[in-house]
Amino acid sequence: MKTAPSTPVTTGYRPAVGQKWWTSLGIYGLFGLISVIVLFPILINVFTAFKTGPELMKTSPLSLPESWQFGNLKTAFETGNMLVGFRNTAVLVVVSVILNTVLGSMTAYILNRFNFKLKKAIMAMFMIAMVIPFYTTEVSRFQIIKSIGLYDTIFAPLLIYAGTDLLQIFIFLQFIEKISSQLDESAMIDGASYTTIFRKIIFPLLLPASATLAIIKAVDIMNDMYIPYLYMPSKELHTLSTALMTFVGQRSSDFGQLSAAILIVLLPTILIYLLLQKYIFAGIAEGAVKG
Amino acid sequence: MNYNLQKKFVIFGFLAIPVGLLMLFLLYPTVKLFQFSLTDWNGISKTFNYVGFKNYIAAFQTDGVWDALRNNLLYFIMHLVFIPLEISIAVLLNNKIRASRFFRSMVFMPYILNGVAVAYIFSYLYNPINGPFNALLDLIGLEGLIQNWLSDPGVVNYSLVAVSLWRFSGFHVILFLAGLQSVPQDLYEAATIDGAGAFQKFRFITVPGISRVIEIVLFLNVRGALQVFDIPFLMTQGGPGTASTTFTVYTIQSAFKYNNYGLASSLAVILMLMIIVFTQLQGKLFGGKEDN
Amino acid sequence: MRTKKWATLLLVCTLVLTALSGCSGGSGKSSEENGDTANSGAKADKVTLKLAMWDSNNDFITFLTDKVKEYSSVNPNVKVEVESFKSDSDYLQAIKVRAGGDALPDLIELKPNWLADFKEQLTPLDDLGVVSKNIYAKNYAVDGKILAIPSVSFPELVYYHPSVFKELNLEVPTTWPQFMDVLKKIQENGKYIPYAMGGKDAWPDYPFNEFLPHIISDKESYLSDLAKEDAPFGEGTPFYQGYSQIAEMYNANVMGPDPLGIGADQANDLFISKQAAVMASGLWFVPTYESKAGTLDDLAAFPMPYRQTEDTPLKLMMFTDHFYGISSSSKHQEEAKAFMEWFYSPEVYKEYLNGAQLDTAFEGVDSDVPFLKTFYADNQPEKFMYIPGDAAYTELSNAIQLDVKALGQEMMAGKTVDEITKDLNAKWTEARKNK
Repeated sequence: MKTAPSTPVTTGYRPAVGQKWWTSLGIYGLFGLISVIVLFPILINVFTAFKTGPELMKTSPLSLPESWQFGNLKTAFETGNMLVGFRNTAVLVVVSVILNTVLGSMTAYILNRFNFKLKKAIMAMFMIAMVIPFYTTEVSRFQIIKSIGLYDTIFAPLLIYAGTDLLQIFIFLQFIEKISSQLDESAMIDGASYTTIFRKIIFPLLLPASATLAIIKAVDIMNDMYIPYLYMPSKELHTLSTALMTFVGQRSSDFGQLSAAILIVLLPTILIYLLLQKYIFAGIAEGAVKG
Repeated sequence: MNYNLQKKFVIFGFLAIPVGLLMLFLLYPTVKLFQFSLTDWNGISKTFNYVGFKNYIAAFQTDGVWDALRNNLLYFIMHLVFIPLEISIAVLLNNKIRASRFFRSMVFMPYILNGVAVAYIFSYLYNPINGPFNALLDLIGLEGLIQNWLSDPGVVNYSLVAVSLWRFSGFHVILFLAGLQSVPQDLYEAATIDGAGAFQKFRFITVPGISRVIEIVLFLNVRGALQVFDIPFLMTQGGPGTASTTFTVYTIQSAFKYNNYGLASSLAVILMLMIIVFTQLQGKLFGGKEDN
Repeated sequence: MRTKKWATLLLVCTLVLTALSGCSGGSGKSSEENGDTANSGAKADKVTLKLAMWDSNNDFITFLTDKVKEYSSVNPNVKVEVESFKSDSDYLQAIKVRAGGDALPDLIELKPNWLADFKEQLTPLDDLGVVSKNIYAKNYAVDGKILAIPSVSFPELVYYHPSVFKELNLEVPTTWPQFMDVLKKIQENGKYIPYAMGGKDAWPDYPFNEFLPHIISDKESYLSDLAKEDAPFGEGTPFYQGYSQIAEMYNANVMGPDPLGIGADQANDLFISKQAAVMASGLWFVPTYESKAGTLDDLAAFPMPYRQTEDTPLKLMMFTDHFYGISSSSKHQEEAKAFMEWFYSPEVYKEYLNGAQLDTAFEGVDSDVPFLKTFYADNQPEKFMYIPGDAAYTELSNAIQLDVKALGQEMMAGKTVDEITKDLNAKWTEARKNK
């Protein structure tokens, strides 16, 4: 912490041309350290996943596996119900992110382009939703889910995830404000309906913001354990999170298998992240938080 | 169709589903929460009695609640302390340092990883028998620092906060970075011409330029710190004893372990109010200077 | 141009993810439909009964899952599906939320001390034929009604490795001072961890923090009696006595370097791999031991030596467990009852007992657990039944959020018996006043 105030002083803007060598050493040292802190837990997990039980007992946890054993991965994948977890998580992520994007942009469009009586009230409702504590409200939510017959179906979490929230609306609003209403007006002169305007003009222009939001939402959904745990207890409806929880509960002392299961859960996320990160950051920079 | 009529249709049509979902899954349960907080419902029985504000009074008089809140405070303070560091890292990343892209993806990586998986990874790292973290300290000659990471009541919360920092700091950095990128470069250039020093530029251009982001991060911090649940729940179940119990863990246990759904609901209502009040206070404290 | 690029990207992501999920999308659909039929039961004559249970032993879960499938050969129209949980606390939370939504599984497993909580959610089973044969069911009736059938009973034991005792020349202890002496001698020798405690999970200290005061009191109604007193935890009470003994053990440094840092599974492994010498647990630990160690050759047990001197008889704590009830919200009451009759019929129940490797709860069916037979051949102690506290006790202990197992963790972390009992007495008095 002590070093923090000094760094921005020298680099609060584009670096001076002749940067001192120790400054850059310091900077790269810092980022090297950060990378180590980030990678250490992940790498340890990878090593552990490839070690046999006896090997884990007698070698240092920091050492590389003596030989890369795939036994743990195989066991974890087969008995851990991971394929089912992948499938359900993927379905949940894709469908709810699409629904969520459409609903969020529709809401923002209405809130930005029209004036009507209940506008303030609706904004307030979304604001309240931001501070509602989860978990404790689940008993009531559960009763609703059950009464509309969605309990233990994949539709329960889908509907819960599909709902839009204030952060998303804010970001969309930010973007819609930048879309000139002259575009709308000229379309109206051509006789386009509001729905057409939204579909043909507004929504396409919102896609850059959507990408970032979609990724953040996808991360949230992939990482959520409580909603699928509560609303889809059936084994065939396990997600990656709940499959992992079940697997871990059954063999919490076998660190090799445990790490293998964790690795299986992490791998697709990391791969997708590395492939798409360009777009994640582009979207964030575009204005995710200018709002 | 005439646009006036169409307007009514489109407003209703576009808002019906999002607002419907909001009311069904968020607002209605919250209304029920208020209702339950005034009852002695045990969470299972088909009947309950209204007891007025008894649960709220009990909540304030229970030591366990305050002990739990103290643990939340630690999450809040540590994350708050990290904010300047996060901003600094964002500033560094915003400069065209070599490999800044690589470092950027490093910094953000923990946030996208599955939280359940992360909690289990760290449980293993802190393991007292042949645990990686202790082995690392041993390796770099700091074995004197070895602690009972998850079992010493005086240490466990710091161990858990460290996991929280590992997971969420990168996300904050990226938010700050986005804010920095929206600050126009010519402001800095003009300031340079006016002879402003580096610190002045940081203080008068950078900080106001990202004040919105700072506000968002502060709000996320209040909300996150007050609601922190899965890290202690998965790693220690709030133990040893109640040493790492947070407010939400306490609430959940009141509801489901001790059959006191009324008390749990009142705690949840109190939590909501706390988030609102703290966010407001914080806004006043930190936002006051840049009011425009 | 830019928009197009973004749109393409979004489309590609979608496609990739759909492809990922697509490989088995079909089967996902069908399973949902199955779930639907199970819940509504209206579509066809086929009925699916859901049975929810928990067990720490994975093999037993697998056994039970397969076992109940056989019911379909008896009654082809009924399919029984097991939903399993890893621990009783996760299980309890899940079924409580579902109870509120009237979405309980048709058949639910319960612990004896939960029966009163769920009395509105359970169908009375007094008219079931098999109930008359059950030895313990009547002891756990709520408001005079039998709400769930206990499947097993078993003793609570202290396990040890005879080879270690032989090597260190130790006698099996029958009093608390002897027990402490044994643990200290193992500690002094240094080769083994004397006692394997998985304190990171709170529950493994239950043989001490939950059961010791109860059995020291020598009254089966001990817990219910607590509710009748204002200060039942202070000096001179069985609670204080028991906790002082526990503190003596926890403070003797006989549980390895960090008992609170390792979980139950790790502690089990320490004991099974003979790195630790002694461990207390219910009889249900034996199958776990056998599956990991491969043999029971180096395992023996003695009753918890809670008494101070040999003058008083040493009783053996018996626990009755694996209660099964039918939820009153189940739409298949008759089918569920018919299943219960089948499940507890002598032939099927016998196999269940063998699978569980525990002692019987039914007349006329004997368990076949060699370990238990050996144990009873060497020990014939008087049995002490664990009876849970009544409604008044439950209400008070919930009001003060009493968790004796978490208290055990706090003791391991250094909290003293005086601090604990003073605090408990104050809260208990207060809670009784507020009633």
